[in-house]
Amino acid sequence: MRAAQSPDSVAIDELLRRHQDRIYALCRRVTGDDDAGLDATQEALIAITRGISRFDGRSSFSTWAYRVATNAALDEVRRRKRRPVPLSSDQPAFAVEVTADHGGAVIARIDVDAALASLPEDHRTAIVMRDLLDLDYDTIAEVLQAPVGTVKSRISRGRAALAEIIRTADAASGNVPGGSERPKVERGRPEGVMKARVTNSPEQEQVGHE
Amino acid sequence: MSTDDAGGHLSNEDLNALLDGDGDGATQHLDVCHACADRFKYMHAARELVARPVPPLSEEKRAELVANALAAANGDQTNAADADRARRRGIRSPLYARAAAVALIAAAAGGVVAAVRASSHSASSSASSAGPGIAGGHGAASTTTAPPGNTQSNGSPAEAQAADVPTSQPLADAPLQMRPVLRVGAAECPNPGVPLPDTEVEIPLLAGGVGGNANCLRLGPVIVAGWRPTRLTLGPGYVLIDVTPGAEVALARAGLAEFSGAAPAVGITVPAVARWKVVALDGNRVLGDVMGVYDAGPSRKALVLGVDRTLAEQLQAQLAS
Repeated sequence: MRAAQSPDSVAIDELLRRHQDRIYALCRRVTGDDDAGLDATQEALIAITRGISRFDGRSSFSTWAYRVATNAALDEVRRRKRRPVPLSSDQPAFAVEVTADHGGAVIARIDVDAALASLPEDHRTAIVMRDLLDLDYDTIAEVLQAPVGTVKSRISRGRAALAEIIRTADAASGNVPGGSERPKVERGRPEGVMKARVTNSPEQEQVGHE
Repeated sequence: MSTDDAGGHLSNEDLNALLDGDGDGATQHLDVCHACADRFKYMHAARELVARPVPPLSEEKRAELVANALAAANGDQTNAADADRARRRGIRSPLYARAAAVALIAAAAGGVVAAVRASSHSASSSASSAGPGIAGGHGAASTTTAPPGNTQSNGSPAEAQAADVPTSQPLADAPLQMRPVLRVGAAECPNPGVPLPDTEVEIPLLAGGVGGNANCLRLGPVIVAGWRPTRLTLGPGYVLIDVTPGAEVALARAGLAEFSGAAPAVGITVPAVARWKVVALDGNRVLGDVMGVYDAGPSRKALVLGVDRTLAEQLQAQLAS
């Protein structure tokens, strides 16, 4: 880090390379779009490179970098005036394709970007940092410069909203909630019977827990 | 653990804490409450949805992002695109920097020779006049109209030939192969992080940029300096090479001006920078590395680099002998 702040381009290069994947992941999910995510990542890396000499070390570099990336991503979202598609009867916000697996569970195909886009920005950024980057609450609070309690509230609400989206999709598939077994709780990572297949057009992605 | 008032169910915060590995007491409630267990299941699914890894970028795209950031941080988004093109051409090896450095030294040496020859070995007179001449040159005409008293070569083909400078190639037509200056980095720096021994050189330029890395862009005796609307002070023994589009590289070689130790430091006030590129010279070809071309207007660019005192003295000694 110190080397990167000195006139050592190699150190800066290395620093950027070390963090760019997570910065991109953050930007990609917050913007909800490949191009916007790339643009935001580029802006973030430029801002980091330009600002590295002014980084005062009061927070960790990664915290500072995430803050820069978050701002870049939100700026990009605003710049593109990208908004979630309003839910209507003839145009579902979330593409749902339902099949039954061998265990009777439901596989829902959900556009994760559309789902995240339905959340308020502050909820979205917090939940992405928590669940995608696996940052702890204190770090997220530092990145977002918000109290820890506020961060917890945002994440809780964000998860609840997403849960409702999934539940709706699940119900549309004909699955009857309530009868399935509860996910086992294990170090905060319960394993459930539900399996969600997420489609992130054009490539199909898969996510789930069994 | 708290429950809502309506039905004694867990709150979202409780379920959230449970997801994060806290709230062990809530698990007992989930064992007996299907409604909360169901909510928990969907919240867990929500977390897994967000936790779905983002497809990684290709190595090429990753390199591009970093290269663009480094280039853009030097002050020019255009340069990022240029660097991008260079990267796609595979110009990334430090060997290029090394080769360019050798070429630069050779070019600088040739230029110094030409300059000193042209000035009848009068280093001090060149020092007293070359600075202002170059300073004026940044804002006006070309080096073919050397300032009065300037001992630079005028860059004519005859002089270029006399200085053993190959015929130049217009910058605009040259196969520009660019990559960020910063990529040169410490690999080429003999003393990374160590201030330049010649403290007369004052290059208060953009941190993280070329100027900020001047000591790490010191390629042998060649120092890349320059650009930014700032005052660039060159101490004794340093040489500026001034490049003008249209007069091209050979002229640049012949356009060396020496600031000798007999003269006080020469200040050059660089006007506003519209943009700058990163190029390099290999013989008379624009190769694509190391140097900055400073754009001072629609008709004039200036490539600024320095040759340190040791090289200048060596060159002068060679000339004297």
